[in-house]
Amino acid sequence: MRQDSQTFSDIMDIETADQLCVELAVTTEDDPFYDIRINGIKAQPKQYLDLMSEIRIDFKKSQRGLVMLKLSVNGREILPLLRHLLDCEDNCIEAARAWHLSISPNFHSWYHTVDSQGWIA
Amino acid sequence: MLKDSFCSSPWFHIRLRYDGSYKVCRWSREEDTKYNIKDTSILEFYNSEPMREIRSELLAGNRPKGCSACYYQDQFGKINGRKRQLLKSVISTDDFDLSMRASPHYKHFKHSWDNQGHADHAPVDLQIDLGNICNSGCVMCGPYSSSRLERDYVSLNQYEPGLFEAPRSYRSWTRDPELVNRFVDQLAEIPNLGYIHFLGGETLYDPAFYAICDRLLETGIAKDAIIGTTTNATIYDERIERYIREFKEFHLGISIEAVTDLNDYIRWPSKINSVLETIDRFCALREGTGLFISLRITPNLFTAYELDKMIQFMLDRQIIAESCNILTTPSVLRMEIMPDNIRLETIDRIRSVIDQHHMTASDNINVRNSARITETIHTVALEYLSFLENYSVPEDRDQQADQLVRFLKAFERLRNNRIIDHAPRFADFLRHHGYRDC
Repeated sequence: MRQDSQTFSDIMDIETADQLCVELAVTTEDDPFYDIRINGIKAQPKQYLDLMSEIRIDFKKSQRGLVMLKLSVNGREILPLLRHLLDCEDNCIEAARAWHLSISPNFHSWYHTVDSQGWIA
Repeated sequence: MLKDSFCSSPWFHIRLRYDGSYKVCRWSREEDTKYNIKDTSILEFYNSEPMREIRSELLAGNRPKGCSACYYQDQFGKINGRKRQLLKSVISTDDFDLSMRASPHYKHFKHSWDNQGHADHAPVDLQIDLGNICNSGCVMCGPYSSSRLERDYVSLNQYEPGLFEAPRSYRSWTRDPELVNRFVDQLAEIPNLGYIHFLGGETLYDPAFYAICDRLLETGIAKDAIIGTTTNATIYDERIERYIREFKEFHLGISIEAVTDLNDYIRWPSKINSVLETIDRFCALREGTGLFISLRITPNLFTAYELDKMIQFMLDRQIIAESCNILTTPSVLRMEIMPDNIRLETIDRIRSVIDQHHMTASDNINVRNSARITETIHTVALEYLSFLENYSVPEDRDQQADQLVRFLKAFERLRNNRIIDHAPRFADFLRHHGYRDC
């Protein structure tokens, strides 16, 4: 993790690449048809993205469906905010269903909105 | 560190004071600026020297003197103006560096950094002080916010000149209809105006409030703007119902300090039963509208003792309390003047209600979130508990307590009432400091 900045110059110096760590854990990783992609790339347990980037998560139909155990960005668990997008309360996506999540314009602004943190000035 | 000092408020907010002078922030303790709406437009002030200076100071990591109230509350982990304004820029103090870098306002901060504090976009959050027309004479208020106190302070100053300044003339800018019209015309020129908060006096008692709201409806500004105001709940005017329907949202703050007759003493001459009835009338308007209600409490040493009852009232009515201030003036009314034994009892009473409802802290800064009212009430309770447990007793507490007695007796001489009838637990403490019962 970065140390806290002393000055605004330090903030301007932040290299935005790889500042977001998306962590994803699902139950059916042994399913040969299982396919989750983050920004078009097959998802790894941990994936690093640019701070300012949109994040698109795509789940293609699988044989068994899956249960999402964890979906966090920089350690912030976002699954509770997404329950309404899933099929049931135990974070399940059914087998026959494709699913995607679009986080834009960037993670921080998206999180502010979906977490009902009020109007942006 | 920047995360402990920075605030984004000057990039979208300004305040207009009762006499038409501008202030850089609604929470600023700095003197009003020399700029006035009579000769300086809102947009001109927005890039005036005081605004450019405070932006530059904040970007440099300095702690402007006028921001002391927010920094004081930071020490107790209280949700304060700074945190709430940062949130409107999508900046969190828990994730400061990255959230600031990702903020939609980052480009504006950088522009100001490169251009000596100049801002390249218009304000979206205004606080407008309409004037001091008011039907109440609250003991912690002053003539600048209460026409009733403007009259009372003449006598108070004669009786206790060391405690009460002689009132000046507080002619408000809103008494000039042409200036009010010009003001609304200026609002119409501001793109993306998001929030206008009106303060009095008592706004619902002030014809200027209705005149401005009616013009905001005429100009079409209303449909895109959230309007906020604060009332003492002694007045219910049906015109409010139209405003609640036609503004994008209506945020109503209700100033109340206790749910018992202690409120009658503090917010004289209100009557608590009537105030509670009015609050219930307002609450009934919440259903299906954009009305959000909050209590605006600013506890003093007496009302802090009854915070447990206030918290229970909030839970019962599902109304949050929102106060970005810890009372600092008049200094004699500060919670910190409380004697140690009553401080401990107050802590126990608040802890009892916290335990009863299994309250836990939340990281929610957006207190005006209808879906998280209970959570916000819990946070408020825990914040006040933290303050009461951790504040430092002022070295001059005994002298302040002596002054407190003189301060209260000056009011009681005019009002023919007695604090010990409304806060009997404090009788011994007050007598010890010279209070006489008659």
